[in-house]
Amino acid sequence: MEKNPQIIRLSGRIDATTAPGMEKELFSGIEEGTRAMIIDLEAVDYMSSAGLRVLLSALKKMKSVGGEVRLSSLQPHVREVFEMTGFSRLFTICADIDDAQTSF
Amino acid sequence: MTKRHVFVLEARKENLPSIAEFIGEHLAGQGFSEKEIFEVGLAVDEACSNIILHGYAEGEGQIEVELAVSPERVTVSLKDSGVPFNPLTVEPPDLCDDVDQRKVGGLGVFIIKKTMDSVGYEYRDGKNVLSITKNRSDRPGD
Repeated sequence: MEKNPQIIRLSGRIDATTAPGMEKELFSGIEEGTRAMIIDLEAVDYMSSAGLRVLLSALKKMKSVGGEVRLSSLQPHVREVFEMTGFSRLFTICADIDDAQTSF
Repeated sequence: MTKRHVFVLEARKENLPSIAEFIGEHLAGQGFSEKEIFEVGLAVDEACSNIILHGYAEGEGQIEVELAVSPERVTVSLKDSGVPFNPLTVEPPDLCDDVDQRKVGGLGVFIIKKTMDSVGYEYRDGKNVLSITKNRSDRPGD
């Protein structure tokens, strides 16, 4: 089934300052009808719990409307935070965007 | 020998990157691994985020960050005059694998405890004092 996923590329440092902007971006995608979303983290070199909070909120929201989320290209520090908090088991994590696209 | 560095800043979210820079700047070239420097920066970011978001109404106070770097370890002490709050009393989060059951948030203190070797708190002279320590992993001669 062709789902034509929306790709959202995040970048830089995701902390308590930048997380609210990211939340807006992810949530407006869902509100506009996206049901397959790839959140690409290739250019994200840092994420604190503020970023995790937003990602989980978006995942919950997407699930509640029957949609799916994939994360792609996690960098080492982001991966470490995901593993330490069990987020790597909550999300479907793909090696890169191509991988994520074929996973739907 | 222990080297000390102090940085005082306004408790505002937009100052979080400069705290990370301060940590990175003083730990780089001191024999800590990149992972250790990242973890110290992350723990300090989490602690400062809590102070900024919950300890003070935004923009209302200051945070003093003191770094004590020795050949064995780094200790970061954070002092603020906000609402008295002992992060060590926070209940650990339930890290369940079920998206619906999993609670959003509550991970900041968990991340601090998980990444640091020791975490101490006291309320002294009207200030919250949080001290977090990271030991250097590969000390030559151990």
